[in-house]
Amino acid sequence: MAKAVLNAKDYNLAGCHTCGQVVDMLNHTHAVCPRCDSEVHYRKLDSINRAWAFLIAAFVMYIPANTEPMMRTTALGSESGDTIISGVLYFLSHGDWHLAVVIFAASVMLPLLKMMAIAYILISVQRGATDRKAENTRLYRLAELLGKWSMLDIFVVGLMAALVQLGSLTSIAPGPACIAFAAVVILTMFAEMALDPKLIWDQTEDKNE
Amino acid sequence: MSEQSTPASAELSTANVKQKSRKVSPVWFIPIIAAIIGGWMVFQKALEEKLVVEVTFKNASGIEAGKTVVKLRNITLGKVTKVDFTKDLTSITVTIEFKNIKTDRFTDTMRFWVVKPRIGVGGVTGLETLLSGAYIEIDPGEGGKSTREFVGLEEPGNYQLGNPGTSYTLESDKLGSLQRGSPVKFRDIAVGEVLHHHLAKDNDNVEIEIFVHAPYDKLIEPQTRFWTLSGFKVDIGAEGLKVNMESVATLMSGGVGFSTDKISTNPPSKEGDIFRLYGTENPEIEERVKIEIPLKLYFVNGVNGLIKGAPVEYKGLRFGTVDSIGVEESKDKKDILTFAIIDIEPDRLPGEHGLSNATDKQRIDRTYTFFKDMVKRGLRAQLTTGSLLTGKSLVTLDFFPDTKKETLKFVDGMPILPTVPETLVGIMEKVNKILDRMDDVPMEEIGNSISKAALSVSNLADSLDDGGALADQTREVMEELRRTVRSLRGLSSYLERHPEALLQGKDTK
Repeated sequence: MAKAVLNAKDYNLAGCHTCGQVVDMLNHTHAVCPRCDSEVHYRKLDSINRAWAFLIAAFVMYIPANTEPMMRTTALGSESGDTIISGVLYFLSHGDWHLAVVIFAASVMLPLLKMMAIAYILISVQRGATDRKAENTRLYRLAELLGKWSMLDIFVVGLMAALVQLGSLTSIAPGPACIAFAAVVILTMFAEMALDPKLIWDQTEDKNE
Repeated sequence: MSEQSTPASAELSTANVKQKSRKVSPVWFIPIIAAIIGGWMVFQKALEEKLVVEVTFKNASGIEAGKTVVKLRNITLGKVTKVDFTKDLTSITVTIEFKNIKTDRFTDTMRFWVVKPRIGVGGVTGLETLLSGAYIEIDPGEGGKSTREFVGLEEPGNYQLGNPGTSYTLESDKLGSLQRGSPVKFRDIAVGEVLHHHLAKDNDNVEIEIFVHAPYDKLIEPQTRFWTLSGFKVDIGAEGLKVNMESVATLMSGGVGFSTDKISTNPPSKEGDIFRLYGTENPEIEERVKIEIPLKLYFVNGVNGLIKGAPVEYKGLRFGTVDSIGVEESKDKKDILTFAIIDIEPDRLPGEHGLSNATDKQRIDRTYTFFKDMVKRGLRAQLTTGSLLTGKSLVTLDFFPDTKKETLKFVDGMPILPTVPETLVGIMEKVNKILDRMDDVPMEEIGNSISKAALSVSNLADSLDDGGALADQTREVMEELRRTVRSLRGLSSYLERHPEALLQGKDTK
């Protein structure tokens, strides 16, 4: 075994996913943590499959999140629905380009970038890419960090819907895109959680074998 | 490699090695479910039954693409997706997209109109659109051919579907104060309204379409009379002064009234039936009779006080109307004759009422036969003073069996009804009046003055014997005579200036 870098797996050691206890796996792949009684594996179970499943689900939901109206505004009897893009275009046409950029970045670009980042990591892990291991890990961290902000839209719509309820005069109700968008964010979070970043390093070492 | 998991222990047990079947991981259900939900969301819209129609308006004020909605009874059914000019730029084509509407409901009976704030005499409508903007209202209509292209109404329409009632057409010479929304009243209760009005094709009439709500439409029968409620009306005719006043609202917006004979058992009229709209509530007096038969009357003593429209009466019952008066040269060119043409309304003649199914020709013949008979028996026309107050005259028909025999002659196709001069009774009345006036003449005063003068003259004769006294008395007499003469002169000159004082007495003011 000529390995440049040894890792815990090589010593039959695994960390508990829940409490972090280091366990000697004794050549088994499945075990139970002696401290917190939760399952222990070398790597997250079925990581790549699950990550892909969640990611694809997120990609699917991304479509209605952008084509369906995010917010339904009823003003004096006339109802209008606004999608994310139409909101961005509205702000752009009114000269509020910085607001448009913020909304576009937070609601359109960010979820997309995060999903693409995870997809990129997954592909490179599956292809067993040897280079850019560090970059991929950094990308993973970035995705995890930015993902937290993508619920911004949902918060705004939730607030507006709660505040603007003036009966027949004006009222705002969340549109179907809200659910889709929340699903995108949650599913990408699941994908990101299912993906074990250790795999980035595993594959390269296997390749080196 | 996969092995059955065992608890972490020091003991190394031989695992039951099982080849894990490459089953699809249950996690893949998530994207499948997501795909189903997402797909449903996206294609839901596409799967919706969408219907696009085009409506042409002359004017699309307030209509905005993507914003203006289309409503039926205040429920939004569709949206305007495009507003564009027609090719010739004369009108506007509005493209409307409907969702989830049964397509067979779009037939040519469907009507579109724009709802915007309107202020009329009937009230303010469409006020809500001040804030929300105009919208397009539809009336689905019933039946008709399926179509996708419509012409919008310029004036707001009325719902007809689900609004039971019947619409009728009224014909009138002029519109008067009627307008869209003017009420149709039965015994002063509004039971319908004027839908719209337009010139008839021949430009001779105004056609007014009215809508009468159920159940009042049952009241409308072929014999129903419609008239305009013009609000305020003053009539001065031979009958005297008539003042008619409707409610103030009617005064402004006009209205249509109608009534049906109570005894009538006719079935109600059908949708779209045409009625005549009369000017007054009692068209007996003016317009009700459709057929009029002319007769010519020559009046030797002129037609003083006779005007067009004056009644023709027989013992106080109306038979017709004076159509025109005029003059013409007599045949021997020696005289100018005054004449009047009267229109006899056969419906009012005895035995003619209710014979409305006879043809006009038959009725004219019957009328002439009737008059021929009557003239033989002594029927004559006569000019009578109807009202002393207004000095208007009317034509009366009456029997004068003692006059010389005459017949109903036709000159140039026009029947001539013989006339008699004003009756002796009338002349006697006048003579009496003159005699009454004579009473007012100061005969006694005149007589007194004369006897005084005679006395003075005899005094003068007596005093001729006396000397100085005579001179005095002569002067006195002369004075008296002069006064008498002056008084007579005054009287004569007054009479010269006011000859009517002989009849009416001296104005004592």
